[in-house]
Amino acid sequence: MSKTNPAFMSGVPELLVLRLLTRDEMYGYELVKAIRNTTLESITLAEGVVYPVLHNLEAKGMLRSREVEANGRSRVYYKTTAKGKRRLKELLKEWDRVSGGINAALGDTYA
Amino acid sequence: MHELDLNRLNKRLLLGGVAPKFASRIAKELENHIAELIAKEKQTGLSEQEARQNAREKIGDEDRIVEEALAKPAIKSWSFRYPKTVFLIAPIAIYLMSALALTILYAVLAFTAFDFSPAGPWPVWYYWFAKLAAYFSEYLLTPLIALYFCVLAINRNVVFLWPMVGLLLVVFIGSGWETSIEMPVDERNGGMSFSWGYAFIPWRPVQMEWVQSIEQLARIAVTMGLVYMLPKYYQPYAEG
Repeated sequence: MSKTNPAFMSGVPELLVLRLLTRDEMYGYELVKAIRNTTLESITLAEGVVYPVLHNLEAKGMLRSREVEANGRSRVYYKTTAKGKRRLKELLKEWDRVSGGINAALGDTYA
Repeated sequence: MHELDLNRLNKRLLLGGVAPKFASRIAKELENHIAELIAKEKQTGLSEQEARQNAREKIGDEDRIVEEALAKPAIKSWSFRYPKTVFLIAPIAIYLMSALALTILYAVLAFTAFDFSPAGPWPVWYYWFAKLAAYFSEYLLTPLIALYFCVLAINRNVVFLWPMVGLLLVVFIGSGWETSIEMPVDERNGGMSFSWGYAFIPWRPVQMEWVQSIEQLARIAVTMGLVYMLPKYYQPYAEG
């Protein structure tokens, strides 16, 4: 029996955040810009929504954070942990499975 | 739909069960994010007001942020996620541990006070310590624990069922809990002993201990009265 795909759309922000924070340590504002740039502006989040996502991942131990003072403002930088990297691998696998299935279906339709 | 107001957002997150640490951090990080957006918008030649408006639009609607945060159990407070553990088990555990800690402190200080040869009159400081500790554990410990958990329940906006059950249990245990310390009579006779006990109200009248029964009931009434009155005067989320 084939697996269900609950993380298909709702897991997209989590997937992108983990992916981008595995490459570089970033704070919220930078991360939102990175999401916009790396997805060629196809995914534009309401920017405020990124913080509950970040804190949720941090509470689950998938991200770690550190506060840095810069230009009179405090910035909280986030980075993926080992647990987060394992979760990223799972999400990427799931993404490949689902997108492969959708591509196959669309291929038939538009062929 | 609400335009973002950081104070209101913080309050809505707390009322929805988000842990205070995460609620305040979300508000603080959003404040910095907005400041950064405004600075970037102004660099493009926009006026302060236009820059502020654009930043608000980019940050998104407050309802959406609240909805996203409330959908994440991992950032909710312990008291919201595990109300039975926090409000039923923790107060009893804290009461018993405090009573045990006080007894241990009694014992340790007794050895210091009597220099391992307990005899003769008690040193004045030990006498006062024992008296104050006894008053504290009999009259203050239970109301303090009850008030602490009552304030916690109000702050975390938790349904009062489990806090009330937990506090009733603590109040009943606390009102009947007795710690007794026996000191040696003189240099040769007697030893030091500590004992714990519990005397439940219905048994006391049977044993003709009316005074203790009334005192026990009065302690329960005072503590529950405090718990009942507190929400009337302590309303951290009241408007205005």
